[in-house]
Amino acid sequence: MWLSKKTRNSILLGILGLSLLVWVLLLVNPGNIITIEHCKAPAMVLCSGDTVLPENSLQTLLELNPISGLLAGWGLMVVAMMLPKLILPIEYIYARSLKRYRFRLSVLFVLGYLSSWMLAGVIMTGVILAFNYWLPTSYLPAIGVGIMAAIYQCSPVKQRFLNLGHDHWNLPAFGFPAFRAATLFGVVHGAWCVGSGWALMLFPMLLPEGHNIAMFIVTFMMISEHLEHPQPLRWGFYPRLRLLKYIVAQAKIKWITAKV
Amino acid sequence: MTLTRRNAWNNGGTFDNPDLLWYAKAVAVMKSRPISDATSWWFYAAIHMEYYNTDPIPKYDYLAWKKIKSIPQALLQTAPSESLTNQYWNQCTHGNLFFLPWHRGYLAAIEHLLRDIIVNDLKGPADWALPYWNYLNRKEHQDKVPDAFTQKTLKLSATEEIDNPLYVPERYTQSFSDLTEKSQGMLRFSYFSNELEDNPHGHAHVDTGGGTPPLGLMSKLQTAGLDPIFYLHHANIDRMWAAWNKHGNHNPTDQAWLNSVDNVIKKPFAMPMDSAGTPWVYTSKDVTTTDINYYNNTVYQFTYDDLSLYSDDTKTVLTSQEVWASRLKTLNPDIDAVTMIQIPMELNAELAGANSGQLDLTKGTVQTKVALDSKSWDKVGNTLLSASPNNLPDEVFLQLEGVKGTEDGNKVALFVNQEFVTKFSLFGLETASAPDNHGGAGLTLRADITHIIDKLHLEGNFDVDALDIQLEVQGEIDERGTITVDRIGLYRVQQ
Repeated sequence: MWLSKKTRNSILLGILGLSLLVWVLLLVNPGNIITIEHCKAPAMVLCSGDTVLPENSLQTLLELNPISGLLAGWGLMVVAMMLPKLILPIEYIYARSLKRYRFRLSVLFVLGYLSSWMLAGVIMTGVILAFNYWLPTSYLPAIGVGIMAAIYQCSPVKQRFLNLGHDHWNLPAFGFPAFRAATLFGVVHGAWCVGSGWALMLFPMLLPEGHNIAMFIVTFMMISEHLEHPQPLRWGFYPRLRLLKYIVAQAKIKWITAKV
Repeated sequence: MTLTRRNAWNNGGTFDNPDLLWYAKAVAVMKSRPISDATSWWFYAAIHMEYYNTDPIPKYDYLAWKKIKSIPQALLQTAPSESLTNQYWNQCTHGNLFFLPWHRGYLAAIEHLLRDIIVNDLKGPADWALPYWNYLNRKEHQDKVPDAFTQKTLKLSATEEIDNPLYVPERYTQSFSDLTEKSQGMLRFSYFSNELEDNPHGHAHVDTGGGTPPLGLMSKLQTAGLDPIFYLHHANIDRMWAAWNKHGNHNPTDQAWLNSVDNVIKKPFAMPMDSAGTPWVYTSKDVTTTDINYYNNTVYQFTYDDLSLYSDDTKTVLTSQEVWASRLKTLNPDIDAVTMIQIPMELNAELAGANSGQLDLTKGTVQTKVALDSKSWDKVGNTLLSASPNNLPDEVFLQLEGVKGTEDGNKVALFVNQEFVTKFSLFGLETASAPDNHGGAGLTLRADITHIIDKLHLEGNFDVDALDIQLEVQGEIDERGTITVDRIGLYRVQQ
């Protein structure tokens, strides 16, 4: 049903604000939580604590990049990049839920969604570490994954996941079933999102340099394709520019307001 | 030049009406072109939706274009290029606020194309415009398909007779008695567009095509554009929009609507202007009035010979102002005569109750209860108690959410506490339920039940825990057919 403009604006600003905050955190990158660190010195140097480690050993890599830190970085990256994609489903939850449940159901939905990406993160962080172990500071993994992402981008499998991302769950109105459904909706929505976006997400993480700008571009692409209407399943290149159109439309609003 | 769209029933709805005669002749020219030509009848029908590249579900196999007997199959042999079909086909928007603007542009483009043929190829009148079919004009018995569309042949001269281009055998017309024009009294565009799309639009589709299998062309989104009556039906819907605007009602002003940016839109609105497919790309803001911002920065102007708000003067239909004034007076007899009520355009709805569990309507009739949330329900009650022109009470809606299935030709009647509320058309149901087409969300059907809630309040029966709901399927459902409803939600709309 219809949400007031005030409610829709609160959802928009709340989510964009949180995403922006995490983006700033990622750009500052405290403790190098989102980049893979390598020893820059010659072989057999003191890289961590008092232990002398070989430059390219897995142990060195894990000493410099503990799994917990990598997963924390991954989680922050998901929050920054993916949260804006959740504006529409959260609006849907608000529109279809009792007023006093709205916020809690939305939080559960987001947590469910993040849990899917975190599960994927365990595997993807492993892949990132493996590439960094075998081909440290090389552009080859990023190029390889970039080519794979470009092919996947045109595939009907990706389109299927994008279409599934439009599946809005039936939400029971009352009590525990409402909370359970919102959480599961988040988990499943997250799974479809992982299915459509895993290759794009992997790409910036494998870049030895410039992954912030790559992350920004990928975010733009992923939000934009999420805003597109479901499409028939077939191979093809679709320019997905819906976000750009939204921004242009919004800019016109501001321009008109400024004139008035 | 401002073109005037006139009533198809002029001169008895026969070929004595020159608008229909020229329409038939131009349709024959378009129908003679192969589907690879972007100005062919088949290509234009596919702009709406198609079963040419897309396969129907087995139940509707007979509606695949390559199996429809009235289409000359040789003309379907060579498919248009993929770039053309990607750009133009399957554009139609339904179930959202872009329904009216998209169809206005679609009609203008095909009307322009037909007039080009009439003027340049057939040496006909330069002011020809698409007629409209006003099935709501019951007084003059126009609630049936005009004769020009039902006769099998068209006599061009004393010696020359051709197959009637306006006739399709796949049209199994039924009664038009369910059609209403409640939409015309609604002040808010979202109410108006939603109601107009269901009734008369959706109802007229299935009433024309037929609701009992086998469905006719008009009963499915993917075949409707093949039937020449389709464009006259939509001209009437467009006429009702123009009439609604003419009587002081306003279209949305938000940028998302004006610029047609929303994820419910499948692709940019675009119509081919020539056989090679040169596009006219438009958005809602180009078609908010009948002076259209058209191709090559020209203005395409048209009007209707009748822009009365209502057609059926055998029934009393009240405007929103009158409904509100009467409602306030009923709720609070102490109120002095109400002249003008400021009804806010901004909508703010909140769930106040729902049933639990999915409903299966496949067997025909289903009963359920919509449990009310006491906190939200109390808020409704409070607004009823304090109703005044400056303190407008809530409106209450029932919303059938996630209506899914295969039975596009059926209708569903809604009863609340044993009282009939409305009858919904399920036109577009199967497409809306397909995951790779509409995201599988199904149809969302909405009914205003404010009058029933007011009655509960006035009769002192407001303090209830639930409302009794009954849904009745009106047509036949075969063994392969399904209709389900995910949830029925009850909403209060604050004023």
